[in-house]
Amino acid sequence: MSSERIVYPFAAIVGQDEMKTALLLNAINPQIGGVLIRGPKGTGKSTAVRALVDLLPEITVVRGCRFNCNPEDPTNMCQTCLSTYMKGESLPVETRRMRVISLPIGATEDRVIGSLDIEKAIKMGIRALEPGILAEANQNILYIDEVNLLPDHITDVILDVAASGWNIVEREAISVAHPSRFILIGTMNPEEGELRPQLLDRFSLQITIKDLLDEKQRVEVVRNNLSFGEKPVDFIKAFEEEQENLRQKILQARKTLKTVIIPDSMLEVVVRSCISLGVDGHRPDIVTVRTAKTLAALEDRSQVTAEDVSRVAGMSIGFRTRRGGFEEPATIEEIVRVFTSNMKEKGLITTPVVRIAGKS
Amino acid sequence: MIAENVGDEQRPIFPFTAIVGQDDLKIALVLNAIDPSIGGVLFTGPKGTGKSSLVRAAAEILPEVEVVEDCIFNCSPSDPTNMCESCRTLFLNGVVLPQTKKKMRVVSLPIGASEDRVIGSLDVEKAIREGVKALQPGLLVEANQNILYIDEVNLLPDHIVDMILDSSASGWNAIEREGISVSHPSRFILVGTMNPEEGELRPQILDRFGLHASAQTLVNLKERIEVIKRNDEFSNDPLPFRDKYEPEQEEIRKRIISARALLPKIKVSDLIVESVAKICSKLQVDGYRPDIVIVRGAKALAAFNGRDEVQVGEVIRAAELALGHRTRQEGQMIPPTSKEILNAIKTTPLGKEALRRKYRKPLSFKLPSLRIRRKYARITLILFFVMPVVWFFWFYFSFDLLSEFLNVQASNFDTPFRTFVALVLTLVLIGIIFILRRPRKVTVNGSIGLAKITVDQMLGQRMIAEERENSPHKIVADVKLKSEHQVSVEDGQRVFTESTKPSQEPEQSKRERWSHEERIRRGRNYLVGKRAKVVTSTSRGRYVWYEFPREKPWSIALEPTIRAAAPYQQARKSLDLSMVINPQDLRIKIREYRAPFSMILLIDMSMSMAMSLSNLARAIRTLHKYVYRRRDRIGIIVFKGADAYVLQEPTTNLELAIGKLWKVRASDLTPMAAGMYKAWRMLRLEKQRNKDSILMLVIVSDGITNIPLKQALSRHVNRMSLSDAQADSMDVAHLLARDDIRTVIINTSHTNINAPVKNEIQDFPWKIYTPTEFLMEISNITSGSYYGLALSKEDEMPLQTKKKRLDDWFYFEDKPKIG
Repeated sequence: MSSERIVYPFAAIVGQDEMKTALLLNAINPQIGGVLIRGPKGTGKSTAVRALVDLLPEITVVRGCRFNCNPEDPTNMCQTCLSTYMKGESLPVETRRMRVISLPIGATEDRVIGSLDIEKAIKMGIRALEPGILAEANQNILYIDEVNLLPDHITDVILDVAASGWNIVEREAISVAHPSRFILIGTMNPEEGELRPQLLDRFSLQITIKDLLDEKQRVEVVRNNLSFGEKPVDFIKAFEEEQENLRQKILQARKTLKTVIIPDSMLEVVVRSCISLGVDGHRPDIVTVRTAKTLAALEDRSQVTAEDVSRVAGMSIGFRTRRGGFEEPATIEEIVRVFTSNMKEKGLITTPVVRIAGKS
Repeated sequence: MIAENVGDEQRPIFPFTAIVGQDDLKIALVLNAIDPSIGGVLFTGPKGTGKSSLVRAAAEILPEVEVVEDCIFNCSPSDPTNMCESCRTLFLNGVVLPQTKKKMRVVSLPIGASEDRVIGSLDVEKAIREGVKALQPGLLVEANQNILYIDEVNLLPDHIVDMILDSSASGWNAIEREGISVSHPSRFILVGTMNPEEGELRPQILDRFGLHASAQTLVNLKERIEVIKRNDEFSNDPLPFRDKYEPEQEEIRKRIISARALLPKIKVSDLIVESVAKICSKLQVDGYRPDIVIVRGAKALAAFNGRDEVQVGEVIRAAELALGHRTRQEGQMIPPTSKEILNAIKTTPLGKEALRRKYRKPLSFKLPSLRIRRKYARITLILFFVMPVVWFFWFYFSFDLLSEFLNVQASNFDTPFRTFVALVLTLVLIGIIFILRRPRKVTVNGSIGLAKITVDQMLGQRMIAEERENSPHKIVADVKLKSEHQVSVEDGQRVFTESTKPSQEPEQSKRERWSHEERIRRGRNYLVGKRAKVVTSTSRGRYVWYEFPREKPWSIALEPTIRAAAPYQQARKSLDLSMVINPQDLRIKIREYRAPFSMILLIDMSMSMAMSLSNLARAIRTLHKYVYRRRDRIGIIVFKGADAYVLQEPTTNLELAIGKLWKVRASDLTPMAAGMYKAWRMLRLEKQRNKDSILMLVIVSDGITNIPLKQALSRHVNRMSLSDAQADSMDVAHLLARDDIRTVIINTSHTNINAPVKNEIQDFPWKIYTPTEFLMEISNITSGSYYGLALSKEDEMPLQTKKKRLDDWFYFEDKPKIG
């Protein structure tokens, strides 16, 4: 499948540090809950997402299970796997590369959710489910290109599943619930229309990428692209070492993540800032803390620092509606200002953290 | 261990008691668990406040219900009115039905659920394998005696909503489809969550929910930190986290069970019933359901508190939960606020009684703020501990003084006696103060986390919340119109009948107005017809007919398929199947649904327009009822300054849009082209999301446009106007025409153009249009309709007429007739 195809190496992507960080963070900690990448066409959004596949760690799945169940987690199993597990029998295990499952714009509801397997129904008289994309996406990455153009009813379904981690199929004589935990990655070009604000909120992180303005970087982009087009195998080899480093880094970070702690004073800063920014709901707080912890893990630290929080705040809060939709989303400058002043008050930093997310 | 924790619900659920805050929601759920006849609850609130988590968590604290063993319909073994056909026959024949206890379940209805799964359908497996016509029960069967949970209930397709409404109203689900005819009981507690930003719910379904509670974003710092911490802990390792909360969960479970046992014994005094009826009639809520729900809710609350009599606090709480979503005056009025509810309670005998007995201050006193209150609380606490000690020592050391006061010799008494007397006096003093303080605090048991909230505390919180809610609606430009708008005549060909001076010809103007009204009526009907356009589709809507599949078949219409295969069964023999179906027999379902209607209001926010803003808001509000009924989506774009701004993405929730309209400040410039362009883009996106939607653009402007697009759409050669701003707008108008977007243009300052405007240079096609001409030209290009309004001082129209008229403009779709 897509993992066997030759993909552009992630390490060879020039610039766009914020996007790369956001993708890596999601690869380390799937619980962050996905990222939305906004940007004009031809800025390497899709390339980056596809390139991520090569870095992803392996996952263990139950062999032969249509829903890619995780054999070690009884709380996330389909009915068949669970009953086997309960009997105390060991499940056949298979390790497999994580995959990027793309959701095409034209996908119909039955393909997404799953539907009655018609062949089985008429040939054998068995009421069986033909699993949909959401089943395939379990433990993998679900990638929606041009998410803003997706029909509303499909978007609703996907976001509902993304929030709960379960896909409940109640259609056409089928009644099945199966786990569907995926990293949701969406890309969109704001020129082609905005996403509904309600849907925007379901993405945990959001980043906006711009065209590279640096001449040198642009030259490098062109050069890389040309050599990848001509000799893809050699090109990949040239980046193999860097790729391997990244892979190790992700594995290491996954281990570190469990030990990362966040000081209570920092928690208070996050909450206080979210309150004074007036963002709706509690999701922003939770996501900010979770992402900051992952960032600390990525940089191999066991404690979340003020810099981590300031870096992720722009990604996790910058697009959310405020005060019940009556106020425009906060700008990055505003977010950084609020966070900085709160951190100063708590004595966590003395000088403002200069690095603003997206501005290095 | 694992088996226990996983159970039949496989997911690790966040424990009910670990959810921070949201007491209203918790109480509402608990009340429903105690007394299912309350009729469910609707949770509203912004995203990410834990609505859905709470409902999922509720599954674990639910009590058990009695069901008939082996009955697929979950019949109740003791209630013959609530039994399926076979159970009832047995019951009436005196057979004791075998019964078991089953845990109440939360049956969730996903948004993507299909009709046949909701109500049940023909069993495919049995039909093909055994040739038996059997029912495959749907979700409404499973939901019987359980909780039916609909997440995002406002996004559910209409036809499914109708079905659920139907069976929730009657308690029965009748299946008459695909050759099956069965009815079975389906009594469920309907629990729904919704985010009002994503659209409103129809009043009919709103009324079905017994209670309503709105989730709030917590503003307390400590609570919010707690939310993050618990979330983190849970996602790291769910099982130990759940164990930690198990004792608390068990306590609630026990409390619910004992409350259920207590419920039949609870007395409701006539005073309370009378007062509840009075509250409802005072608030003019529709129907009798609210009265019943309040009494039931108050009873359940009293049972939960372990009391056998209903008290005031419980009625207040129940009324708040039961009335917060009810429409009033047959849907003319918005639901009452908690302030209104409290005011209504005050006027009832019960409220008066409460006032007389328990309150020194009137009920409606205002608290300065929560923070100050908390500070007071701390001081009171300190005083409570320090003062007795001070008193004690004072009594002890000033015993001489005291003895004089008591007329006894001080020297007669030794130290222990002194101590004793001082202690007694201190205790008496404490007792007096306690008695004096007590009546002011009427405790309302009911919150689960915080065991007691005093009524005045509750009032204070509500008021603050309300104040906060009201503050964004600042009226920025509410200039009263000095004179009324009056309709003048419109015509596509720019030949005009003068009517801006009605004082000279009052008769004629009146006649014209009437004829206009009449035409409006016709126009609306025309649009209603258009609007009712039914679109067929294979993916959504109600199943109406079947057809041959054109591509890979899905959504099989089973019954026609079997009928198609039936004649060939002799020839196609099979050993293990009683019915052989070949691909050519397949028929798929055709569904139909109503075409949605997307309208963008494009509003000019220049200074000149600001004065009609209040009228405009009123006019938009009158659209509300149409939007309700027809599920139209309305978006608002304003243009001002250098650019256009999206005020509201298309939504069915108009109140939200109106609230935002007030926040816009007017500016000097008028970039109409940019506004039209943005609207065009938005409408195209609507079309992309649903290809069947009917698009409409309403432009409200005075036509004085002065800012062109940042980048022109066409070359200047083809332009019709000398003004770039006008030319750009016309270019966009061509785009609108190309995409078949209906337009309605409302000119707020229509001027009379009797004399043809002279061109600067003869025979030169270019010119600058007057604002009125310009707007007409736009309407010509898009073949839309044009309405001109002009100011006239003499002809004062009653407000009602005007409102109606403005409302009609939006729905008037008749192109002006020429000649």
